[in-house]
Amino acid sequence: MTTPIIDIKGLSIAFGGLKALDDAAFQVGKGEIVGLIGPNGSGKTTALNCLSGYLKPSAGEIKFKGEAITGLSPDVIANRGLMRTFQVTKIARRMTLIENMLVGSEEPSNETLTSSIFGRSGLRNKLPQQIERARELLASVKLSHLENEYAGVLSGGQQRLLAIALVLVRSPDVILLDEPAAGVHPTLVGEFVGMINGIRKDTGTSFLIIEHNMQFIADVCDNVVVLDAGKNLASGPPDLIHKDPRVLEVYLGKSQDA
Amino acid sequence: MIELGLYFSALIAIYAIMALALNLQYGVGGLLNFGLVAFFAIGAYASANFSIAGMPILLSMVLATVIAAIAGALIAIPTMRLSIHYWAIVTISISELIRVISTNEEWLTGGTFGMPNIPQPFAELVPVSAYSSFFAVFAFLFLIGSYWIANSVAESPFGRVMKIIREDEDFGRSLGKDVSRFKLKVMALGAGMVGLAGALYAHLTTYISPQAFEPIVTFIIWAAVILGGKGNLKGSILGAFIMIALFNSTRFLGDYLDINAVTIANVRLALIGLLIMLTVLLRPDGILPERKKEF
Repeated sequence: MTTPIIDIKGLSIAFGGLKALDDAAFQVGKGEIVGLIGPNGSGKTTALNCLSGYLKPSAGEIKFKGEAITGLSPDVIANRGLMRTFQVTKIARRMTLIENMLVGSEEPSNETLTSSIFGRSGLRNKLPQQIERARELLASVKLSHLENEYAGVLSGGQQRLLAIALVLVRSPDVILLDEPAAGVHPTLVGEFVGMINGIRKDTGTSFLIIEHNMQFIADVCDNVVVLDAGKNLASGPPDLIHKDPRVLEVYLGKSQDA
Repeated sequence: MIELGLYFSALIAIYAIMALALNLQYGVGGLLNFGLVAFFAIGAYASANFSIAGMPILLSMVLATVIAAIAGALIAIPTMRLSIHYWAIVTISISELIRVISTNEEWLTGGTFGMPNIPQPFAELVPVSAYSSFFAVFAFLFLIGSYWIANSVAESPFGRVMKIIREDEDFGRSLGKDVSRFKLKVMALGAGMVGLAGALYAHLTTYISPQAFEPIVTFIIWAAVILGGKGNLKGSILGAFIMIALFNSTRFLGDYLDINAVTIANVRLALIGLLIMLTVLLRPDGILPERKKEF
């Protein structure tokens, strides 16, 4: 087996007396789509926050493309090619869709004060290409007609689509999606499945997806990791996970959205 | 009367530069800086000291701008990790700290007596009768330059990142933006612009003392930005014009109304408060709201 693009070992973190993650471990292979499931409070989002740098784990190691990224800051991790969306969608409400996309696609070297004051013509020349790329991606999530509207006017589902277009614009190696299908219309969820598969096929991007919608997980994931109370419970292909008695036990009678 | 009008024109340019700086920090970047007057004082005292010591005045002003920018950066470095509201409190205390220093460090600031006889730029070349007109033009040239820089920054990729930070810092980080670094830079840039305004003020009035650096300066600038429209740079210039015209014309209320001087001073402050409240209630986006940028 080739080295996994994400390799997490012994990940632990506690909030006060609550062990949110307790020696959790899992891997994501290159080009693989992995689902991360478990009951509420099982540590899924905490794992994602550790992975993307928003939380520093108290123990454990996270390797990305073979290098340790444990404890690096979120922007450094994003720039290395590991990008995420949020459970409660984050977008810039008082910026247009195109502006949101332009920030997402910009190279850090163009974002200095000196280039903004003295390099105006250079930046202006690059702009048409960036706008074109932004328009392509907005078209792929069917938001073209709203490109010059403020992102704040979008519906919840449209905001999720914009967030996905935003993580795609830099062509990252790995995309972490935190409940992409929550609150999204069923037909749109079906489109997400096609979209994620299409992106993987075109670019070889790997995905790690947290989701309570089991049908979505079954349709899109190659492998599923189940967490319970911060510990690994099971992992394997979706059809096996669905029949696993341990998984059924934690899900039966417990609060779940699926 | 014309002399007075020219003096106020220069003062409007000076406040407009500061309003542009605050609009970059707050309107575009979302930073709550309630300590603007600190950098105004730093710029004024720095340029006064350098020019009195015999340095060419334009060079003194450039150095004053740089020193204010460095001060802004130095204050930002340890405090940038604070959440926005705690940071706002820190900025207020810093401006008071600077004022206390200016009152007590006589060797540097002349203490409560202030610094008189600050030289004026090109005083030997411009005839005395035309000097007020000259200084008004001089100040407006700096305003034009400041507007050009502020506008370039606001419209650039840097400006777009600042807007993202205004909306949500964690969102900015998830897109790979080093948020603290951007905040540090915009803090230094704004502080430099306010420092330049301070230097202009010192050379306009030729006399500065701690009384010129009370928190009211900060609040006039805030009122100008809110009134003019946060996120709209032209609005800041308009706001500065309205605020300075209003604040200084009310000075003469006593000539027409039978009120004592202390009451008038308080009425003038209350007017600013009333104006901010009315703006926030009736026109929360200001006279010139932020314009949507379409591509």
